[in-house]
Amino acid sequence: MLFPKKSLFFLLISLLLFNFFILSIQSYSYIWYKTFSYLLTPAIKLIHNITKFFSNLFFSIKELREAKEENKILKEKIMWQNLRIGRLLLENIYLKQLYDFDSKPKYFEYVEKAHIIKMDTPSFSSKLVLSKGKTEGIKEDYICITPDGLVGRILKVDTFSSELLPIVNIESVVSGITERTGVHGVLKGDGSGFLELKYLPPYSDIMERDNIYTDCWDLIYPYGIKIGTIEEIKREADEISAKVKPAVDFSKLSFVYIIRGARD
Amino acid sequence: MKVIFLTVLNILIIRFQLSFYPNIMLLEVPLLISLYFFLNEKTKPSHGLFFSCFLGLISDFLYGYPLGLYGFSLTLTGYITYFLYNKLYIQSKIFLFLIFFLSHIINSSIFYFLIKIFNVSILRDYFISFFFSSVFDSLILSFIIKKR
Repeated sequence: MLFPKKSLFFLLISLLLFNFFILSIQSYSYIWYKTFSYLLTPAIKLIHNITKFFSNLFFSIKELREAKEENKILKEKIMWQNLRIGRLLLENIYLKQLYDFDSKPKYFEYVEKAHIIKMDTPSFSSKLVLSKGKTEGIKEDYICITPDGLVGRILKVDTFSSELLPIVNIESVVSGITERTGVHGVLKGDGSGFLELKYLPPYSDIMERDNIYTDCWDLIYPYGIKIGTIEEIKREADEISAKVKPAVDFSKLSFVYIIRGARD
Repeated sequence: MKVIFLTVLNILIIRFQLSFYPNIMLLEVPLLISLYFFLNEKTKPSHGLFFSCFLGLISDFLYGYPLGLYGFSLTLTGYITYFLYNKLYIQSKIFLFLIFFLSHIINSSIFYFLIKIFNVSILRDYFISFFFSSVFDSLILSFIIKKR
């Protein structure tokens, strides 16, 4: 027999349980916490994981929507930025040209920058009205140029405006010289946006794509301003003429720089 | 009468011990007294169990432990020692000494087990003086209690 008496054994168990109970009551928070945490941990973990999964799912959907909207806005921004960059690049190129122009020697004596405010007829071959006049010190036969080349000369000056005769006007006459061979000639406007190089001897050495500059023989335009490029040569029996494309794009002309003429 | 005397004795010794030597426990007084009572020829085992439990609870109170810590360990140790004391054929005092030593080990093990289960922090370092108290207690008990 393992135990002397059954009643004694039950008494022992009762007393032990009693002590254990008292002990449990005093430390109930810890032991219950342990028991419950042990029993409930898997269930809590499961609930936590499920909740986390769904919250992540909803959050992902929301995030995706936001990302789409953000993407749309950013694409638009990039488009505008690209446009701005393009504009800045153009401006940069233009400013570089201006810088080159300014660093040239000074019979290109700068006077004023003037805007074109009026055309006589809707063509750049016609006379143009500039925004600067006598009050800004503009005089007749002052020269109008752009960084690309020669535009024309001042024909008439008023108090606050002046009249510009473009080189492509039929009344305009410019004395020019070819860059490559130094052949002198006279350029007249043909009224259609081009110039005609005239009065060249038949043996003149000119070629297409030759650059032509002012040569100061007319005593109006200073030496060395680019007029244009030969596009087409017409050979006749006693003389040669050529069609010259002006260096300046008259269709895009909006302002000019006015410099002193050769007479000053 | 005997119960009252032993209880008062237990209280006095523990108070004395805590007042003068709080960190050293040369005697495991509650176990010593409960075993002395339990293994007495005139004592009924049920009374022994009750007394062990009662003495344990009083000791818990005096030492400042959570109630039931000593109560549980003393009751169980008393019962096991009583069982061994009655079942084994004890030839010599040395054998008796070994039984009491074993009962101390059992008591300390139960005590330690309960401390771990209920996460109780004990200010006094109970286990440092375990060996000395076991030896002294076992020696005293083996002289007091008669071999069967």
